[in-house]
Amino acid sequence: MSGLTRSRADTISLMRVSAAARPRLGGASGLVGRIHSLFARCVNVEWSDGRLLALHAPGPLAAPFAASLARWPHLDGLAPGAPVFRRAGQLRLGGLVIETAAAATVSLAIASAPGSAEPLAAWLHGVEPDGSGAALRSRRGQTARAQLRAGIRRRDAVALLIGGRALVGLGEGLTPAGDDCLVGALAVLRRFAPGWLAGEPGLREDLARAAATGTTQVAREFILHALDGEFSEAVAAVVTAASPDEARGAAVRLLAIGATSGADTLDGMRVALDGLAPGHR
Amino acid sequence: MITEALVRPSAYHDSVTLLGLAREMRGCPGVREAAALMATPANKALLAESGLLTAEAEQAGPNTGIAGRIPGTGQIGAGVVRAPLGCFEQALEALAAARLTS
Repeated sequence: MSGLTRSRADTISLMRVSAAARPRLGGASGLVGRIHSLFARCVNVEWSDGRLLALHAPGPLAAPFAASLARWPHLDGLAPGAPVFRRAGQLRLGGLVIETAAAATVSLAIASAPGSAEPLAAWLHGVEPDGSGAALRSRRGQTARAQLRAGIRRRDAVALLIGGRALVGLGEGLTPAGDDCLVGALAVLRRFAPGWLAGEPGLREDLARAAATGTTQVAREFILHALDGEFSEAVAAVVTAASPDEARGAAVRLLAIGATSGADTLDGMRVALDGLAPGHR
Repeated sequence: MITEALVRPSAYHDSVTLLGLAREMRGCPGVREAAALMATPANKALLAESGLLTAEAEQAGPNTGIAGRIPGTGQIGAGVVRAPLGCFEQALEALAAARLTS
């Protein structure tokens, strides 16, 4: 590293990191990955194993593979493909040094609470988005959502798989609307029907395979973590809410995410809640 | 009526930007409809059903943005246009510039 670059180094603390991403901060020094994509308030790092670590601005962890910084830095000179190095307690991206040792580890695994999902369904009633992804309302999207709902209703893994696979990669957005919808449904199943999912290991493998080739790398990461029961803090807050006010507040915060990502995720939650509703089996 | 697709490999924009791009493209003179989608198999199938999947868009991979006629079908930005394809490029560049200065 040149003296000039060193003099411009910007050092920032990592504040919080998901439990799934934490292991990436430790281990041998050296090149660990490259910058995958840069956004206004997020940098995705593609690790050497092909998985992603999202470094984002202060706030709730926006993904189960995310870590939040104490402040958002200037990213001048950084570009996709730039190398990312790990040293003892640090990540280095160009002139940016991220101190990682003191970051708090946050579990983003949704705790299971088998039982009735009816209260949550009722609490979310009336929380309506301005609009979800148009692709979810297309014939293809409607069919996929109906298959997903029917699979959940009948506890039919094949039907759920058909619907889930049809949603992968469908629609607008960097994380296509169908992927967001699927993640929302998986969050509800993880919370209220974990035993069923756990008893269908082939379902996980098949959906993971569909995500591997059927959608964007960022969306794939969300789906793979969802299949392991891990979600963003915003998603977890909705399905683990303990009161009407808490549920509605969390849903409103979820709806504010992305252009339609939050709305599409909430749509998936509603599909699953409807499928789990008593009297439909 | 002409259908055009602008393919941008490994061009990552957040969803808000992508929807803004689609709106911008629809505002171009002569454009009847436009959308911006990621080139996933499902999105390419949507375009194919509508007869809008160009050869160039068909070759694009899931992490690629392409440009389509139908709103909500995605960063596949195919457009049914009478305007030149440069209109799409200008819209994309204008959004990129706005993002850098915001």
